[in-house]
Amino acid sequence: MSKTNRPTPRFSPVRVVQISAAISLILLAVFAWVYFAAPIPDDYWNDKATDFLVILASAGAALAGTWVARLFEKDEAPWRIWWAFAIGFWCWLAGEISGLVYDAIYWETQYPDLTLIDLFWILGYLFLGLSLYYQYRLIFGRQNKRGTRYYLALVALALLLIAILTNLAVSTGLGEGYAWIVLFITILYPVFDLAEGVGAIRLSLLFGRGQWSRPWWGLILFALSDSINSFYWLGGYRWLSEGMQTVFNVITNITYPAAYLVAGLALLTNYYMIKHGKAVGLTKPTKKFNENIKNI
Amino acid sequence: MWHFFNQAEYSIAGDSPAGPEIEFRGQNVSGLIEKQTDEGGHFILLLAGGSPVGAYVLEATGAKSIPISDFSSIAYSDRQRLHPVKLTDPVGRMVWLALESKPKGKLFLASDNDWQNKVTDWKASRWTGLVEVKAGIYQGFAFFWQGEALMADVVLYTPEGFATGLSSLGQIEAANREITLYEPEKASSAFQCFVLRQGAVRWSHKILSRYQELVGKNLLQVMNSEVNHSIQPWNWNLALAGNTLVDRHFFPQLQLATYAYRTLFMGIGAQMSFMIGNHLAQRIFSDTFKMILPDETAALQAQRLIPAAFTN
Repeated sequence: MSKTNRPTPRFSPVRVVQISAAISLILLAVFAWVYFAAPIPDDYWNDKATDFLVILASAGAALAGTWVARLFEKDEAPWRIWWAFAIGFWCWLAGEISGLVYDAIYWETQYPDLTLIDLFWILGYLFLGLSLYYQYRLIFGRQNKRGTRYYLALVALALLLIAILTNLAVSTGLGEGYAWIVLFITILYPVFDLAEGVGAIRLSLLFGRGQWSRPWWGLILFALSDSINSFYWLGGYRWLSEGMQTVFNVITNITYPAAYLVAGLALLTNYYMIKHGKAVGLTKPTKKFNENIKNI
Repeated sequence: MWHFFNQAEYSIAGDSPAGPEIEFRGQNVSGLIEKQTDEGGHFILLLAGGSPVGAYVLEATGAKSIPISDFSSIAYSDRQRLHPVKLTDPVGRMVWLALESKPKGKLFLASDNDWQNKVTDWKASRWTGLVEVKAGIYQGFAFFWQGEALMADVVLYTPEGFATGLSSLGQIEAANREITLYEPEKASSAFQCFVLRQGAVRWSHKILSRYQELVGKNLLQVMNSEVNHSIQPWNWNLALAGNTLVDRHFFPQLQLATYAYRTLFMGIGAQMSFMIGNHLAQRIFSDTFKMILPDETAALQAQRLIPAAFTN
């Protein structure tokens, strides 16, 4: 796809990104207000209002991911990275919508042991993990022939490890009264979070402050948000002072929608840079270049 | 009989004896001027983008460098004793290499098939040297660098003008070809510029290919466009196209070539650092630097064109 004449964007991409960033901040502020101040008298609608805002954020990230993925041709290595990334976010969007639906059905009662929400979340983890795997393989392992099967073997190993941990938890009496599958999924989330969070952090360090790494920052925020939840699940809530509980609550609840927004904005910026190139004014290394060139 | 491109014609405006030289300088074009004296002396002045590169006297053993000022002071009886030829930059570079290399032998090939076999041999033996091909009105040069010849390093004079690329030599219609083999003078500026160029072209190709693998064709194109734009003020005949550095510029001095390549690699480094981060950009520069030929590595290192210089 070597177009010499790039299409002129209909709207100024810089303006679109700026407006999207402003909307994201507003969305985050509204989310925090609804979540913490609970301005709607009915708990259910208050909760649904925050769910709706999260769905908006995740839809934005999934859409932007798809736009980026569509810019690559199938024979290009980034094609599979960004399609896996986008599909992962679509799965999580489906998970968020399922959560809304399940709440509508089961608000007054308990969720079933295994829900569509879990299914979509796990699929999302698998695709985002696959995306990370492809990115790592592109950087480090071009010479070896390890393909998607190797990744699936790793996933199988992780699932086995989680199953062992679940049995261990059951044998020690943890999660008494819960079905095995519920415990399994409860352990699976922090394990996957940790794995993908560490993977994304390492990738981010590897890319430095490069624009290309920024969509991964979303995964780091998810890991941060979920790790606090896992800490609570392990009983950490009791060990914190009231003030620290508030701080942790704010962090975990704000970073969750923020993770979608950060990933979405980074993907949107990358989309415009790939599609329109320098014409959009989003690339800016020329200043550094001009400084360096004076010193030759 | 002229030494280079005997049939090429160039009309000189005005009557000044220094006419073609002034014209080439004024137009900032590359060219050569051959001058013959009544005493049988044969002299050549070569210009790159309007700047004199060197003056030479042709002797039986090859060309010998003389001061440029000496060339202008050599008298000739009439215009018939002057042979100016406007050259493209790649042709100028090949002429420079020919003038600064030692002829090592001649071959006579009877057919295109013989020529193809010879090319295959040179490739297989990773031979380095300059080949001059003369056949009728055609005259061409091809520089084989460790068995390879870049498209821009094969030039051919045809009645329609200059052509480049190994395939261009297939245009020669005459059956018999006189081949002169030249051995490059390792210390000559022409050869040093050549090796530096090979190094810059190969290294940039490896860098751009790896970058393309990481970010895709579109972002590579974005970077190329940015870098090409940033080097525009210098008017170099250099451009990044896809994963290749197309270098068609005739640099008359090693320092000028070094400056251009440094500027270009700095542009690539700045763009890559912005997109994939400094760490990974540094890694790509370093990894690919190890993949080029040892002679090219040495040439780049001698000019401090090294990975650490191009990323922050």
